[in-house]
Amino acid sequence: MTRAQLRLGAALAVLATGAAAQDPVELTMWSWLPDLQTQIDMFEAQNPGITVNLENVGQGEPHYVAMRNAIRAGTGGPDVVHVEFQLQPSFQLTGALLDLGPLGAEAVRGDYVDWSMAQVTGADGGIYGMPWDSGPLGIVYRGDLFEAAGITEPPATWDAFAEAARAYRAANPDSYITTAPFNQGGWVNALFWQAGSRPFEMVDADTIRIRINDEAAKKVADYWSGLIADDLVDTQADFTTEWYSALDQGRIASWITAGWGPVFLSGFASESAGAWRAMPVPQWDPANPASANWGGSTIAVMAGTEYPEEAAKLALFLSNNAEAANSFATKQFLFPVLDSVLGSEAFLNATSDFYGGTAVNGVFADSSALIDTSFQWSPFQDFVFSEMSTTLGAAAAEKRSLSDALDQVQASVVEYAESQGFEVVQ
Amino acid sequence: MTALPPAVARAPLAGAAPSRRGRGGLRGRAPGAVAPYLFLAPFLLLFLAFQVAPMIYALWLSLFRERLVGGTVFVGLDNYADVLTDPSLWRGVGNMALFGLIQVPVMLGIALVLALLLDSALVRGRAFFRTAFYLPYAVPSVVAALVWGYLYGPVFGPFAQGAEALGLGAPNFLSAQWMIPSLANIVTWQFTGYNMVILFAALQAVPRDLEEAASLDGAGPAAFAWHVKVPLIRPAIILCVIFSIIGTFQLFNEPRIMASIAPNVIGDDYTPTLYAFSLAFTSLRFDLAAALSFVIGLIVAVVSYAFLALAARAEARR
Amino acid sequence: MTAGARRGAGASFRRSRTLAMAAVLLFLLYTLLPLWYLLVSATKTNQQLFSSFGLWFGGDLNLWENLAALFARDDGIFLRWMLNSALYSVLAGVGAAAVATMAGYALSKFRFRGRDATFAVIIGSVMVPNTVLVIPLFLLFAGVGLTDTWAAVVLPSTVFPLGVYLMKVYIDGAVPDELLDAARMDGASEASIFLTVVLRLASPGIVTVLLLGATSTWNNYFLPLVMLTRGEALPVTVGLAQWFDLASAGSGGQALFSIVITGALVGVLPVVALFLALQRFWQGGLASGAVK
Repeated sequence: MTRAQLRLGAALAVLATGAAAQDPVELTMWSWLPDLQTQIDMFEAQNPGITVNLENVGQGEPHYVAMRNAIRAGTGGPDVVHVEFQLQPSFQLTGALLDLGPLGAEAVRGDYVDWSMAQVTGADGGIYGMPWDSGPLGIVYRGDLFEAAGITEPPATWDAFAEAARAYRAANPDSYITTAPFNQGGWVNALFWQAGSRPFEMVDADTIRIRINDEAAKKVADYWSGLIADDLVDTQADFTTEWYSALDQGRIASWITAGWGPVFLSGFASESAGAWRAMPVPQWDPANPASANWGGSTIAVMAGTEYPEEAAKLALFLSNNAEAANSFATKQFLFPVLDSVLGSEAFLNATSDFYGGTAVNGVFADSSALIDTSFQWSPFQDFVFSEMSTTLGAAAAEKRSLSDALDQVQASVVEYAESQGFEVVQ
Repeated sequence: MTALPPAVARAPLAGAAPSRRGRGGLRGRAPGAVAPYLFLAPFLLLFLAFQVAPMIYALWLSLFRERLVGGTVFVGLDNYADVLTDPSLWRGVGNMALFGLIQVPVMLGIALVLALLLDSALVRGRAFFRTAFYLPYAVPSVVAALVWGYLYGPVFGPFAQGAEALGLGAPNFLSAQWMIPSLANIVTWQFTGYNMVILFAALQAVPRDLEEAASLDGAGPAAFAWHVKVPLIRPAIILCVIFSIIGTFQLFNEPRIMASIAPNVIGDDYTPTLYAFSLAFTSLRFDLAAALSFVIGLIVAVVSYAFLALAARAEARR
Repeated sequence: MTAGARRGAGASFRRSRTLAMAAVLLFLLYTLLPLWYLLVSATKTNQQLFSSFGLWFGGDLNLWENLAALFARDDGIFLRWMLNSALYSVLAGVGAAAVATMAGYALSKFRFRGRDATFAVIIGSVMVPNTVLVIPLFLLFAGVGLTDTWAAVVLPSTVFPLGVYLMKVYIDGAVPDELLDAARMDGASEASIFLTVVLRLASPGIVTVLLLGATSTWNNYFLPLVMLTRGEALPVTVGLAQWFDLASAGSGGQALFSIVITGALVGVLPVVALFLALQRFWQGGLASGAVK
């Protein structure tokens, strides 16, 4: 070899190693799911060039507030972010999320339950989030306390539930069968949904039909107003220390929750572990059973991310990788939206010590099958939830008519939609 | 709230006092004409950039509306009309008015009594008490709210635990009926000592011989305090009231912390500032939030000046 | 004391004194109660926080474990938050003091056109509540892409109109005109007069304004909440509030409560220590200077 060739060879070698030794990519992910680090570790193990900085900036509203702040400011946001299904439309509308279709999502479209894909797909066919889990309704309850109060059969209808509430309260003057947290927009919305309420419909891109206070919703509102007025249920807010300890120590005997609920409870309920069971949510019409979703999340990528490919990789891993999905289902009790996991025997039969060795996934799976997934979200759902939370929450706490409060919410949401330029039909 | 050391209690707030200094004027070489402007420049630049400019920009933004459908449009004063007719704003103002009407007199009343007690010969160890009472002011309001939040806990808070042990019932400090007094207590805890120090410093200026003359006339110390000392420190009291009013309408930190543990009581519109925050970052109505910021500023200014005018008129009538 | 006053002085004076001391001690109890609770709670494990009586210790002391857990959580972000708070406070305090001293000096010792107008504007702006400015400031900073930086928190905090007023009043009393005239006659430049004469004489006032600005920034919550979103940029107030919210909602894991309360204790210590160490600036110095 001539000296020139050697020099060229050396230069090429340097170039080659330089290209291979890339700077490691650091992604930031915002999510409030407990113990998510477990699955993040799995991802990092399989992707040595990528480190993930996981931050929990708040559960629910504070998280979205931080997101909107970062979007408005153009800086300070994460790469990968936890977005619940109900907020997909509003973030899609403002162009805040990255289309993951060309980054691998399109290829796995068919892996997911149809409705979950539908809710993350934009009008332009882009995929703006990877479906992660869903939130079919169910009730977890203290089997021991129910038995002691004489409630031997899970109440199949809401009327039966009211009776059970009465019986429970009579037997336990110091505790309640459940609390009705009307400050929790998603919870209230799910109950309305289950009763057949369809508050929003996008007639076209600029026109929206708003009927928050329709008959079904009012039926539910009146039902709970009655229970609250008769002091058969508590109205304390959920996701507070007092509420957790009330559940743990038996001052509240059950929780009308969604599939993802129990992981939060198990972190706190040390005294009562093992006494919990699951049962289906009561029905309005046993001949036509229905259920609904409370929450359920997607993993999205922010449009402004510096590392779209790596971020998409993380989103796809967390939502599509078999090992991760199974881990989510068993460790965090996330209710899957991946067809492969949903149908698996292992998932359906998985037992839990927290539930006294019973298999609870079946309850939520049955519930999931009853969800009418044509329910539509508004493109400004966090405003709607905030209005519901403030207005209905206050009405419940002060034992005023929830139905009247619902009319107020309707009026204020209509006004908001009009001010945002939508044509509103009622 | 930025602090207000004792000095301000004495120097009248309205108007400088140029006549107080330099009899005979400045002798020798006159300072360069440009010098004062140079010294003033950094403050003025920062002031223009970070107090004036944001307000002008917010004013500009508030004349437009960024809509989800149809982009940004000019709406003139519509946003102001919306804000002023928004029941959420008035709910917040109502909460703050109620809060202020309870909290300010109670806090200043206690501060005044403590200041008078420390000023009298009755209390030993004044320096210690002055320091101790001022301490809560150094605590960040977030921490104060957090700690009181724990104390108020209906199940785990020591008051509830103590009451239960004694067989009594404790009120639920985090309920809707008790929230305003509970918040008022947190703010009182934080600022009573601070106000007391201001009033105490003002009391130091009251001439001692007045006190002796009064006792010769047979006036008891309490009567003397009420009829002579208090009126003499009027300016300081007025100042404390004004700053308390301003602080009341700004209330954000404490209710926001309380919202974590009592979310069904503290809604997004509990105080005007909380509402502005929610308008911006939940409803995405930055234009409304900007308009609301102006309106809050205006309300505070009106209330403060109204109080000042009332006090001045009462003074003039005496 | 006259004879007449002395007659009843003994008994009624003692009674008054007892009442007064009782009132003052009661208020002392009220003042110290939450701080005591903070101290006691920081020594408890999460379990003890919920099982033992709030105002007394619960078994053995876990302070060190709590502190270790506090600084270990989330890769040691709490220390980062403390350092951020310190950085922002020092920068804002020094900035505010420097700017206020210069402006106060100008207003105090010079006559120039626009002086009264400037003064009136400064007094008027003291009435503007700071929180009213936060969202407009955010919108402005967002417009130029400067949110989520230290400047977003520090720069607005250096505008301290009250500080300007305080320095003006202090310099009025502390810096004699004769000294300035003498220095000018000696041919000193304005800059050197300021740096050598004014700064030295006004130093107690400067330190006061610095302390006021620094503590106000340390304790600030709303401005950094709106301006900053990255976890590493947060000051202690915002970070702790975030953890508190998570602890209540349950997604932070169970152990968070004991960490939050320990963090609250640690977050309070620097300001309290600073304040105690430099008391005379809070209460004495400025007051005597302004009596004149």
